[in-house]
Amino acid sequence: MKIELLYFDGCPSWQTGLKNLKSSLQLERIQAEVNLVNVQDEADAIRLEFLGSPSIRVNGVELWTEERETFALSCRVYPTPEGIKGWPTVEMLREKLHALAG
Amino acid sequence: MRNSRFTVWMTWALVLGMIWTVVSRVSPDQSQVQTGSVPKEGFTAPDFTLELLDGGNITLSDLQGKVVLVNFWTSWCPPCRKEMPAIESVYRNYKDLGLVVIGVNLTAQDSKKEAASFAQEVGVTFPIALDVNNTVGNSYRVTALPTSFFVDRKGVIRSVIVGGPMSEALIQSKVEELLREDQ
Repeated sequence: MKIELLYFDGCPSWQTGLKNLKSSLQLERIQAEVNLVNVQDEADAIRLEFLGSPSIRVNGVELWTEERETFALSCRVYPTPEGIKGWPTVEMLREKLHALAG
Repeated sequence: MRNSRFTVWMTWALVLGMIWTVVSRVSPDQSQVQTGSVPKEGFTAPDFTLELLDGGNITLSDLQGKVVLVNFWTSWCPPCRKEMPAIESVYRNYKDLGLVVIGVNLTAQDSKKEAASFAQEVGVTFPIALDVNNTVGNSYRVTALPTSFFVDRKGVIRSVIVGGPMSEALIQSKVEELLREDQ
């Protein structure tokens, strides 16, 4: 399983996203490394079709897809059971990973 | 006997079904609201009322006849911070021509104190609204910050910009285009 976390330095929320991702991998007993992809500028954002920091892709596919025509540096937010957060929760990630691994 | 009981049950079921159909039908007015308010280009902007940082409230639907820029932001979001001076500059230049800017702070993901401190630092003069419970962020389906909605004089979303920072030239061109349109 190839796992990437796309982020840009400005949004501090990616660090919680990474922590949650690692916890969910551990809980799902998935042994995979998380590759961090630093989106540095607008050109990177367009090339990578960046949906905001943090975005998580498994085998090149966004865990939370979204129809978007333009891509830019932004801080991504997720609708979680506790309201809008700057990262997906461990449970949300586990659910996605479980479905993929299952 | 069994047949007549079945007929009675079926008749009751039919009657109840008809009552339910009539009671639960959507009136034309409701239908317009349900299908019309969608946070997408070409649809009526979802209405909201929010508390303002400086006190009082703001209601989007009260601003019909104005061009409105609804900008979602937090103080910890660098592109939000970067584009704020450009938004302020366009607001100052066009407010007398009918532009209103509402800076919707996703306060549930920020803090009122930080939001106030940043607004003061930039010298923001447009209203900053506090989305304390994420209700407006949810109804606008905000998935990234900053996100800006350009709303025309009729209350229709004409353009959505996800991410940033928006340049002053971009904001200006979108605002001018909408201001040129008749009421």
